Parts: sequence; structure tokens; C-alpha cells
Amino acid sequence: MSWSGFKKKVDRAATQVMMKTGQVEKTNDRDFETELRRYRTMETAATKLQKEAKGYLDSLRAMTASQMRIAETIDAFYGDAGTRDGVSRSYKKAVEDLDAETIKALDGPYRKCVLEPISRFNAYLPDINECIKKRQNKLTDYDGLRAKVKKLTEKPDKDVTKLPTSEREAELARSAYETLNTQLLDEIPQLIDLRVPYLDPSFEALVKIQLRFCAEAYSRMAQVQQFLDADTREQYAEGHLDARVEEVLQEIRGLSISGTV
Amino acid sequence: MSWKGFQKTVVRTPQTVKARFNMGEISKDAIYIDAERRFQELETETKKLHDESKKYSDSINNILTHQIEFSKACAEIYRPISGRVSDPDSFIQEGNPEGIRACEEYESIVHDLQETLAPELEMIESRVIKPADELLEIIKVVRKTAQKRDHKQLDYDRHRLALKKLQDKKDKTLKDEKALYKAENDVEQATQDYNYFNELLKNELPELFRLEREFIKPLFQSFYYMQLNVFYTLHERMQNIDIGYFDLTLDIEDSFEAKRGTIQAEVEALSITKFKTTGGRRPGVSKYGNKPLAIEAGPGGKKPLAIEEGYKPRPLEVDASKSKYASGKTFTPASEKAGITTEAQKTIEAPPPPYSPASTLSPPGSASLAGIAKSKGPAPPPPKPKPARLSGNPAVETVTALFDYEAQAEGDLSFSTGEVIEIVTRTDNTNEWWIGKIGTRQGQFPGNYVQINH
Repeated sequence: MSWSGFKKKVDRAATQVMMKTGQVEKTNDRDFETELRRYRTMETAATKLQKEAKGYLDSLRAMTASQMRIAETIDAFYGDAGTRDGVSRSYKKAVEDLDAETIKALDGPYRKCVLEPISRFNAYLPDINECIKKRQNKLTDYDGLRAKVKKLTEKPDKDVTKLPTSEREAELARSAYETLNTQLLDEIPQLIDLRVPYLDPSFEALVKIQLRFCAEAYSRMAQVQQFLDADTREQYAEGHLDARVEEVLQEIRGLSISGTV
Repeated sequence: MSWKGFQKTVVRTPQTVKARFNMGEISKDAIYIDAERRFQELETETKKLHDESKKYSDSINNILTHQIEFSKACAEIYRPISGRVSDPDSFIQEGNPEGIRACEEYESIVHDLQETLAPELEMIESRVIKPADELLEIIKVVRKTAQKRDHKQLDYDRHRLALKKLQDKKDKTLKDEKALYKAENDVEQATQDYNYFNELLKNELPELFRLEREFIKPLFQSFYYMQLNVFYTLHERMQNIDIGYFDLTLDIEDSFEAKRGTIQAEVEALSITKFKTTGGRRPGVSKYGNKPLAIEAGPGGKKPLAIEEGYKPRPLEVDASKSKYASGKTFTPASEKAGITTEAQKTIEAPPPPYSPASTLSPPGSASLAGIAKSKGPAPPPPKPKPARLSGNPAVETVTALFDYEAQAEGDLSFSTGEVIEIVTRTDNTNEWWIGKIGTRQGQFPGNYVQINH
């Protein structure tokens, strides 16, 4: 921190202490406080939106990634036997396509229409917070200087130039504060008004992306079905497949290497 | 480790070291080595299958949860924001009630979906993950057996070595003879043990591999059908989504652009959004009164034409964008369009809501889905700030179509890519609707579908 920055900080800390003890009057700006609360509400919501938008993409990716690994595993299990009926191959191909084409194709629009706009909107927030902080600092400066002027008026100092100097300083501080204050008061409501049109298109885009993902995922998956025997579906529905799994497991348990030694 | 086990380990240590460094005679069984390798593969694959299927069902759940949360966050954004929450009068109707309703509808659909899928995912848990888990347990036991065989092999090598050493000794004492006898016995014993385990594994590992394949087939098939079911449910539910708020017939990016319009530029025109970079200094514009859109603010900002056409009083602009936004889901596009025109500006440059008419009238469902899927044409470019022209409109200006455009409402001008359109009226903003003619046809068209010919 620079020296002047440090000095300002010390001055402001002193003013704040005096405010607490009641020696310096604190300016209360109800309008601003109201706007600030509104802004904070929006900030929370926007941050949450960003988090969820990212989470959605991540879990979509996680799903296709684990699907791919499962396909690889199953392909490995099947070994050479798998190439004969082509099921595991076609399954692997389906999930790979799903990952390579569908996800990649949706990734761009998702980034463009959901992730980026929301991130961009969120990127404004630190700047605004900075502005709010600065306004607060300027306000503290102004309050401090005003109190000084008041003190000098009530108890004139021997040095007559002191009062006009302080008055000038207070005036400067006031204008600095007011510039920021009006700017914020003017623009925060505007930003709040614009939030809906800004963020709303992303919601629709998300819904559509999800819709399209579901449609494509289903159609790709359904293609694998032709490689399976016609009665497999029945068997699945009637639970024969599970019974078979259980049966084989029992057989494996029966091997002497698996514990009966 | 038991005391006996520890003792064994100690006795085996020298031989273990030797085996590690490949010293002395070590028995190798090529068949077993290969079986062992395959077994190792099987072990890792089973583990992978188990872990991944778990991850899979988790992430499906996550996808849905994130959507619900996203839609909740959206609803929060849409809700009118008051600075004094406890005071009901302070809620101005500035939010987006239709949006909130859409959020809630979507939320309930996804929530419903999540509940419908719960048993399905539960099934993955119980019918795929659990058997894989059990198999994993068995494999652990088999691994133990393999380890035992390795130990027996060590013993076998060790005893054989000891015996050989004794046999090679030139003149044997009585003690040596005794040791020899013992060593012979040991070798006998170790050979038996080793052979037993070695043969066992050699015989049964291939059997295990076979069974494993048997096991994986129905498991995979059930998993596939479960997965198909999950996707089917997702697809079906999503397809039947019927929220009037969304226009599902349009391409994702197109409608996003259309709905969004110039909003980003508008927001970025607010100086607080880039307070840090500019140090809070306002761009050389007065902060009161007419605030130009960043997009339209030419470097000079003083041209009479621009003021007349592009500059609008700030509050009005917000209004216009809101109503533009509101009209996105209205069913009476024509009247709304007219409403905007009178409300925002008396001139024709008022941006009519792009694309909104007609599309919401088409029935949602399979047709709309197909619409989404098929619309793969090139998307219009993102709105680019056009440098303001320094002179007024030249006598005759022409533009070339970059994309096909089909009339969406009466009074629109249809054209196909490459056609040259004569400009009748246009603004400096490509995101607005311009008027032009081709031959005798005259009508409105979106400015970002064309490129200006210089």
C-alpha cells in the first residue's frame, strides 16, 4: 500500500472511531441503503446462478465421461467374445459419439448462451462493489471533515486561515462523495432493471440445451438396441437378467480359488 | 499378522530378495504368468466398473439437481427486488412474473423427473453396482489365493536351493546328512503345496474368466436397458414440456441472440460495471438526460442524424427493452409491435421484437423438437458495434444478405443468402429492423442478417 493510501486509511479509521463514540455525525442515506440492499439481493442470486450453471455442465460432462469408461470396461470384459455380437462395440460407439458429437456440439452454445453471459454479468459485480466501497470511504472522509468544520465554527482557532481551508476541503470531499453517490443511485436501479432481460435468455437456452441433449442421448442409445437379441428386452423386463447375474455370481463363489480353499 | 505368519515372512525374506533381483533359480510357469496377468486386468476392470457405475448414477442425479437449482436462481433473479423486504408496498412490479411462473413450471417438471428417475437409479444401484461389488469381494479372495501360491512358490524355490546346496557339498558330515534328509522332506512338501495351488489357479482362473464374461453380459444388458430407460424418461418428459414462456421451435443460439438484443451493450454502458478499469471516471457523456447506448455512441456523438435516430432518452430505452422482452411471449404480436412503436418512439426505427411472432403459436411437442434439431444453419453473427457513419445516409445504399431470412410476420422482407437489397431506411444499429426492397417487394428485415455494401 502506498503511503498516501495508508494515511487515508488511518484517517478514516479515526473518523469511524469518533462516529462510534458520537463525536462525529454520521450521514444516513436511506435511499442509497435501500438500493444497496436491492443490489445485494441481486448479487446473491446472480452468484448462485453462476454456480449452478457451471455445476450443470460439470455433471453433464461427468456423466458422459463415466459412461465412456463403463463402455471401455465392458468392452475389455467382453474381450474377443465381444467382437462377435458387436453389442459392446456399438455401445461403446454410441457413448463415444454422445461424448464427441452431442456434448461437443452443445458445449459451444452452452458456453455462449448460458455460461458466458452469466459469468460476464457476475464480472460486473466486483467493479460495482469497488465503487460502493469507494463511496463509503468518501462518505467517511466527508463526515470527518464536516465535523472538523463544525468544531472550528463553534470554537474558532487562533489561526484564522484554518476554517476556510477546512471548509474548502469539506466541500471537495462532499463533491467527491456526491459524484459517486449519484452515480450509484442512478445506475444501480438501472442495472437491477436490466438484470431480467440480461439473464432471461440464458434460461431458455439452458432448457433447450437440456431438451436437445435428452433427445440426442436417447436416439443414440436406442440405436444399440438393434444389436441385442430381440428377447433381451423381455428378459430384462421380467428380471431374468438379474437372476442370471445372481446365478453366475453363485457359480463364481463356488470356485475353490474364491474362498473354498 | 499372526506370529506364525510373521515367522514365515522372516524365513522367506532371503528368497524374496533373491526373487526380486532375479538371482538363483526361480521357477516360472508361463501359463500361470499369463493367467495372472489376465486376472490383474480383470481386477482393475471390475473396480472400474463398480466405481464408474456409481459415478454415473450420481451425475445423472446431479444434472437434475443443478437444473432445479438453476431454475430456482432464475426465479430469484426474476422476482421483484425490494430494498425494504418487510414493506409489501415497496415491491414494484418490475420483476418478471411470467418468467417466475416458467421457472416454477420447469422446476416442478424436473423435480418430477427426478422422482420418476429415482427408482430407475436405485435399480442401477441394486442391480449393477451391488453385483459388481460382490464380484469385487470374490476377486479379493482370489487375489489372496494367488498370493498364497506365490508364497508357496517362494518356499518351493527356497527348499530346492537348500537341497541342491547340500547335495553339492563334497564331503558330508553326519549333520549334513541329517540336514539333507530334512531338506528332501521339505522339498517334497513344498513341491506338493506349490503344485496344488499352481494347478488350482491354472485350472480355475480361466474358468473364472469365462464366468466373468457370463456375468458381465447380463449385467451389461440390464445396465444398458436401465440407461435407455433413464434417457427415454428424460427425453419423453422433456419433449412434452409445455411452457408457453419458452419458444422451443428456434435454434438455441438464434433465439438467444434475438432475445438478448443489445442488452449487454446497454448494461456495459453503465459506468459502474467497469468501475475498476476506468477508475470510476465516466466516459465523456453527461450522466443525466439522454444517455446513448454504447453501441450507438459515435466518437463525436454530435451528429444531428444520430440524435434523431439513435439517441433515446435513457428511461425510454429501458422501457423499450422491457416491452421488447415482454412481447417475447405474447400471443398478439401485431398489436404489441404497434404498441412499442407508439410507446418508444414515433419513428419506424423502434425495434420490433425479432422473431417473436408466430413461433409461439405452433404447437410445442415433437414438431418443435424437430425444429430444434434441424435448424443447423449458420447462426447470425453476434451483434457488433458498428462505427457510426460520419455522413448521413447516402443516396442509394445496398446490402448483401448473409443468411436466408424468411418472413416471420406480415410486412417482413424474405430473402436468401447473397441477394442484394436496396436500403429504404436503416439505422446504425444492426440489431434493429431495417426496411429495404428487392425489386418491387419492400419490407422489414433484421439488420444483422445482412452486410452493408460500400
